Order: sequence, then C-alpha cells, then structure tokens
Amino acid sequence: MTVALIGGFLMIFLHFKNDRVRNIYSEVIALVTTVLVWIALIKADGSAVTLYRFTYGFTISFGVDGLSKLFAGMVSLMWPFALLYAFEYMKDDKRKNVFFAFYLMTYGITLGVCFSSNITTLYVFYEMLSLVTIPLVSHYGDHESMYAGRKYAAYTIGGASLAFFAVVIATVYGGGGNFIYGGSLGAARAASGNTMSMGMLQIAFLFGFFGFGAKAAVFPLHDWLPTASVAPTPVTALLHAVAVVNTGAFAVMRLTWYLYGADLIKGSWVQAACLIAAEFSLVYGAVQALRERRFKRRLAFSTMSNLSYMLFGIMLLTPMGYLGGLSHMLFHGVIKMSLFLCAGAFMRQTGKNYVFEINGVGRKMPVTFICYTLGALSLTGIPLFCGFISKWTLISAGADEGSALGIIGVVALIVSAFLCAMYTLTVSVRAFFPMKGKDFYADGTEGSAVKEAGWQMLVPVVVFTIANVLFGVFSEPIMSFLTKIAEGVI
Amino acid sequence: MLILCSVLFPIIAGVIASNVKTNTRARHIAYSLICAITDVLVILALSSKGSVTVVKFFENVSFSFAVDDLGVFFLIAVMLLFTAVLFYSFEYMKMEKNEERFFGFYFVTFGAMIAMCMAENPVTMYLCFELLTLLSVPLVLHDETKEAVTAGLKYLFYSIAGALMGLPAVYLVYRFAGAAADFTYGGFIDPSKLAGHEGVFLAFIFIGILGFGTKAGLYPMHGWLPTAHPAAPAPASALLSGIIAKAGVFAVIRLLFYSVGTEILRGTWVQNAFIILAMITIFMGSMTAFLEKNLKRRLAYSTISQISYILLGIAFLSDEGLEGGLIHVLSHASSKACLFLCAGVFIYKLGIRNVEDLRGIGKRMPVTLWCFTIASLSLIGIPPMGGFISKWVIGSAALDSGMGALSILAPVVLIVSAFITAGYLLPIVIDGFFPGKDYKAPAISEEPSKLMTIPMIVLCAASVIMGIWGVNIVNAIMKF
Repeated sequence: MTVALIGGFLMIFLHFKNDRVRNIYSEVIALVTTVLVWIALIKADGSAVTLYRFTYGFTISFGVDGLSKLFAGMVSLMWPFALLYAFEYMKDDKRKNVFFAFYLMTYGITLGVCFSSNITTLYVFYEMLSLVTIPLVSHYGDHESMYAGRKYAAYTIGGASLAFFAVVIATVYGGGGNFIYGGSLGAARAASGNTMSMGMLQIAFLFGFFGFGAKAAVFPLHDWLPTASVAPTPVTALLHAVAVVNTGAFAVMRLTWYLYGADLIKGSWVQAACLIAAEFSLVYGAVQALRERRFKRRLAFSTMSNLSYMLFGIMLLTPMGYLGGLSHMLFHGVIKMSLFLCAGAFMRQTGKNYVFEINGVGRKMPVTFICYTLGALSLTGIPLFCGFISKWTLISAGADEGSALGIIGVVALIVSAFLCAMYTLTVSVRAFFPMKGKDFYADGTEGSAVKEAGWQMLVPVVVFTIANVLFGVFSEPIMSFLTKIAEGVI
Repeated sequence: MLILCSVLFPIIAGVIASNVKTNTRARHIAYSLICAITDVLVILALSSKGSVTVVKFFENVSFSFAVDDLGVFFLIAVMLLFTAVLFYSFEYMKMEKNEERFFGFYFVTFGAMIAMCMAENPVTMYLCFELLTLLSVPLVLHDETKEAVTAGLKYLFYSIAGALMGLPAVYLVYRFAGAAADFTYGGFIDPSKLAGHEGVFLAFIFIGILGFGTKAGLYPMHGWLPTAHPAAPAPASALLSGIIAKAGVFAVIRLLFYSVGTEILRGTWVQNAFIILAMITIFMGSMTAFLEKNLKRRLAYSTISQISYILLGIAFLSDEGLEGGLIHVLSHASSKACLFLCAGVFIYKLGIRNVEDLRGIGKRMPVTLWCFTIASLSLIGIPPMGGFISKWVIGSAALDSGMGALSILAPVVLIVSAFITAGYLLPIVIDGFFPGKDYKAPAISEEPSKLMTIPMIVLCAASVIMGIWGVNIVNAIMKF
C-alpha cells in the first residue's frame, strides 16, 4: 500500500523536462500510479502503517478502508483522463513544466489524503494539498488569477486552521484521533472517565465542520470557489469539481463518521447548525448559479450547491444519509467533471466566456454539447442518469430521518433541482436552438470557423458521459458497495 | 417484448428517418410507414399480459413496463391523435423550415408517450413523464423566434417544476407500499406502514397533484399553456393540448387511483382542495378564453378549462367520476385537436390568427368550418357529441359522491362553463357562416388539401362516436 504513495511522490521530482516527451512522461506516471493504487485497493487488508511519530501522540499513518477505496479509486481513474484533456488544452501555454509538475504532485497528495488513517495525517496532507494547488489556480499569472489564488489561499488555509482545533482535541484527548467507523472519540472519552466536556467536543466539531467545509464551499466560506474559476479548465474541472472540493467533503465524512461517530453528535445543536448551513448553501448556490452569466462561474456555484447536498446527507447522521452523501460524491464528481470539460472545450474553441455567447454553437460542437446536455440532465436528477440515484437516496434519507430539518432538506433539494434544470438546460437550449438572428455561429458570421474539440479533449468528455449513463442504469453494484461503507462493514 | 418494440421503434426509426438525406416526398412516405408500423405494434402489444423489467434501480424500484386497462385506453387516444396529426403536418410543415427536426422529435415524443402509458410503476412513469417533457420542448420552440424560444423555455421550466413537485409523492408511495409498488387499481399502500405519517403523506400527495397537474394546466400552474400554444406550430399545439396535456391527467389518475388508492383520500382536505382547484380552473379558463382575441390562445385557455373537467371528475374519487373523466379525455382530445388543426388551416392558408378576421370564413372553406363547428358543439356539450355525455357523467358522479356543498356546486360550474364555452366558440361559427349582407366571398375555393381535411374529419367523427358510444367504450376497456 505504501507503494502507491511512493508512486505519487515520485512525481515531485518531475521538473524541467522540455519537450513532447513530457506529455508521455506525465501520462505514464499517472497511469502507473493509478495501477499501483488499484493493486493496493484490491490487496489491502485494512491494517494501518505508521510512517512517522511526532510528539504527544501525533502520528502519520495510513490505512485502507472502504471510504479510502472509494475516494482513491475515483480519483485515480479520473486523473489520467484529466491529464489527457490538459495536454490539448494547455497546448499553447508558456509554462507547461510548472503546470504539469504541480498537477501531478496534487495527485500524489490527494492520494495521501485518501489513505490517511488518523486526523493528523489527514490534516497534514490537507494543508499540503492547499499549498500545492495554489500555483495551479494562479497559473495564468494575470491580475484576476493572482487575486483568485490569494483568495483561495486565504479561505482554504484559514479553514484548515479552524479545523486544527478539532485535530488537536481529537488527537490529544481522543487517544490518537484514529479513524474508526462509529467514532473513536466516543470510546476514548468514555475510557478516560468522561473528563472532556461534551460542550468542548461539540465546539471542536463545529470548527472542524466549517474548517474542512471551507474546502467544500459551505456558506459562508464559499466565495473562493467561483473566483477560482478563472483557473485553467483542467484545474477547475479536476480540482475544483472533484479532487479539492471532494477532499473537503471527504474530510467532513472522516470527522463525522470515523472520528466522532454519529451517536456522539446526533440530536445536538451542532448537528442542527451544520444541517442549516448545508441546506442554506444548497439553495444559495443554486440561486447564485442562476444569476451568473459566466459559464464556468455558473458551474462553480453549482458545485457549491451540490457539495452541500453531500454535507446535508452526512449531517443527517443516519447510514442512509451517509449513503446519499457518498453516492453524490461519486456521481457528482463524474457529472461535474464532464460538464466542466465541456465548458472548457467551448471556451478554448471559441475564446468566449459568457453564457449568452453560446447561441447556436451546438451545431459546430455537437459532441461536446450533447455530452453537456446529458450531464445537465443527470445533475438535475432525471432518472436513467446517475444524478437521480443519489438524489433519490438523499430524499429518502431526509424523509426517513423525520425531523423538521430533514423535511426542509427534502424541500431544499427539490427547489435546488428545479433551479439546476434552469441554469443548466438554458445553455443546452441556447446551444441547439438559438433565437432567429442571434445565431453567432451560423455560416457567414465570424463564428463559423469554430470546430469541434480535438480527440484529446473529447475522449475524456465522452468517457465521463458514458460513465454517467452507465452508473445511472446499472447502479446496483455500486450502491451495494457504498451501502457497505455507509454501514461500516468495510 | 412487443412492449419494448412499440416504445423503441418510433424513437429509433424516427431519428433515423429524420437524419437520412432524401427528398421530402420519400421522407413523408417513410414517416407514414413508421407511424403505421408503430400503431400495429401498439395494438398487438395491447393484449400482452406479462411485464418487462428493463433495469432495477434499487430493491423495489425498477424501470418496467406492462399493459393494463388504463394504459389501453390512453394508448388508443395516443395513437389516434399522433396518427391523425401526422398527415396534417405533412402539409402544414411546408410553411415551416427544418421539418426533419420537427418530425424527428414528433416520433420520439410518440415513443415517450407510449412508454408512459405502459409504465408499470410510479418511478417508470415519472421517468417517462420527464422524458416526454424534455423531448416535446423542441416541438414548441421549433420556429426559433424569440417568442417561440421563450415559450419553449417556459414550458420546460413549468414542466420540470411540476415533475419535481411530484417526486416526493412518488418517493412516499414507495415508502409506504405494501408488497410491490406496481400500479394496482385501488392502490398499493399498506395502511399499517402509513399509520402515524398521514399528515406529511397527504401534504406531499397534494403537492404531487399540483405537480403532475401542471402538465394538465391546473391552477395555479397553468401559466405555460397560453404562452406555448400560440408560439408552437399548429400540429404541435394540437398534440400538446390534445394528448400531451393528458399525460398530466394520466399521472394524476395513476397517483390517486392506482398508487395511493381512493379510500385513503376520500373525504380528506386533499380531495376538497383538489375539487375546488379544478372548479376554479374550469371557471377561470373559460372566462379568459372568452376575452381572448388570438384564436390559438383562446383555444389554449379553453384547454385549461376543459382538462379541469376531467380533473374534476377524477377528484370525486369514484368509479363514475373516473368514467366521466375518461370519456372526456378521448372526446376532448379529438375535439380540441380538431379545433387546433382548423386554427392551423386559417394560419396556413390565409395567415389569419385573430378571431375577428374570421368573418365569412365559412364561405371560403366550408369543410374546415364544419369540422370546427362539430368540434365546438362537442366541447360545449350538446348531445349527441362526446362532451355532453362526459359532462353528464361527471355531474352525476359529483351528485353521487356526497361531498356536501361541493357536490351541488360542481354541476353548476359545469353548466355555467358550458354557457361560457358556447360564448367563445359559437360566435366564430356564426360569423363564419353568416357574415352579413355586404360580404364578398372570393370565387375560388380556398379549402385546404385532403391531407389536412381528412384528419380533421376523422377527429370530429371520433368525438361524435364518443358521444354516442362513449360510455360503452369506456366500460368495455376499464374493468371497474
């Protein structure tokens, strides 16, 4: 299992290659790591490996459990495709060495987060992830990008420092802060005779939730996400729709289900506060997305909204809710990835940014926009696509939970799904059915030279769309795997 | 197997036919063939017994199809309408561009409606309902003018909102289901599971009625209808009012009669609210139609009003009410489609969109106006047309249902609305045939071609047949 991590760290030494070989080199590294990860996943036996000991019981250790398998598996399958897309997208860029170096390093560090088996390790890699992604956000180097990078840094590192409080409490008083399903804190507290006050633990949880939740763009710590959409599309697609933000959700999952355990916080004011934050973000993100005219920013707000679906599911503190959060983490990752890749393809081929500049481009870039439409339908929650499966699970969980906040959550989900239809499908309609006289890409206009994106960009888009549909139709095997995670069996 | 064929064939064949580059005549022949084969497949599938499960989502939630009595009834309506309007469209679409796209989505919508009628459980029906919405939007915004695109988007968003409102209801019937969640007359809810949750359940079922009723134009979610109809090409409007709006009715029937079961709802606030909403819609729809000058928009408001007759019948939650509603489904479908096709003829041949310009139209195209007249009589409810018998049965169901004041009020609303309907339809007929002394008719006949008139005649005939034999037809199909 350590083998997989070493594969990730090898990439740190990727510097200063300066020809086409670089592309092949990067892809090979990524693929090798993916293969290693999958071997590790299949052969893992759940035992932890301790790498290093700090003082006071802070250790760096790794292990593989169900949740790690899910996240690592998902990340490792997506990275090679995103890399392929990036080759074409960044073709004309000047600073490719630096870009791909950091891109690959992020992969290794994300894997480190996946495989953390206690809160200290998670925290260390979490911070490293923040640091290594800042250059990626600021890549273009212009004023907007630098601002975005600074904002991202402020929010995510600030958030992590909030979470640090939880880390300390858990590790020092909680017997190492190990991740065990059902929570290790509860047992540790009982063992030490309940010396730690419940109130303190709850406050620590709140800090942890919002701290890690900053990466998951929970209101009010969400503002970095839309600003970060000025980053190159491979960055926004992979990191801000899949890896970085999902790490936030992942960390909250670890905090809630594996450190604290549902029973410790169920019914408390902390749960209510977190649920309210999640439900508010859900709707707020959707509303802001509707108002937004820049394509990638719209999708960024959509990500914010969808992440709060996951947080909502997690904070319901029932296995069904956790299942909803898990399934949405996986399915939303796939969907959002394909949506961002389509948006990026559009932006690169046309050089345009705004939604109202999309009129009629569907005829020129049909594959891209058909895939976009399928992704949009899935995000809204139309059956036969995977988004429906996770939405159904979340609605069931909210309804089953029975409390007022659960029902409000269901209503919030429905409202936000409707808004989602509006903010995604208007783009599809614009693309394929432009109003008379407003077709910017018809023959004879300046846009008529626009062509469909190249194979390196299309293949990932199509692959993710196929995954989207496949998961929607044949969801049973995945759902039963996820249910096992949600119930703590694996 | 046949079930799946009848769903997939029109979809696949339609898409292929629309993308192959041939001349118009060959393509029209191809479309006619596709339509004929689909009709045959559906008729053969009508007698199939078993069910087909395509895919399972969760444990008891699967995507599967079967044919039952309600499905048979609606499928007849679907086939009649799609076939008749198809031939009409061959001629009408000459005035529009991009007809391949129109026909492609025409057949895909046809397939989606067939699928919905054959859905075996609420989730399958929900899926087909959503797909139906999405696939019929291109029919509405076909012209691609600002008006058409706005109308199409409004239709899309209202429909999605409606479907999403129906989603919790769908979820909850699964939650409280007894053995299996397949449509069963009388409902499949297990009362013991429901105990203690009735309040929430009823609330979400009501929201579900509003949601699925959106497609049927139930107040307050009727706003898309008057915008969508004038903007869409006439055959699309005929389909929308005629049969796609009935999909909303279908969904409500499936929800109330076949999922929840009437016993649970009888006498509850949900039933009362539903009846009142239906009556408000009937009244409001007719009044607004009366004031409207654009012919297609007038017919759109009329649709809002008329479909709520059906919903009113259903709202009394009795076999008799359902019977009356179903008669009206077929009768209104044929009459309204005929009216829209006539309106389309006025636009296609003469460019006339407003009612006041129709003076003397009967001298110029008598056959068309005769069809319009018969269809109007049916809508108003003059015997022996379909509209009369359905109103009679609905009124009778209201009186038999024992809902107190609402029981008496319902027939009154029906009668008043009949008068108002006469008020907004008969003047067109009268001014059309008797324009006054100083009207000069042109010498040449402006009657449209047979491709347009025969469908209209067929649809009129259908509404007359429903009038004479409607009760028998419904009772033959539906096993109450």
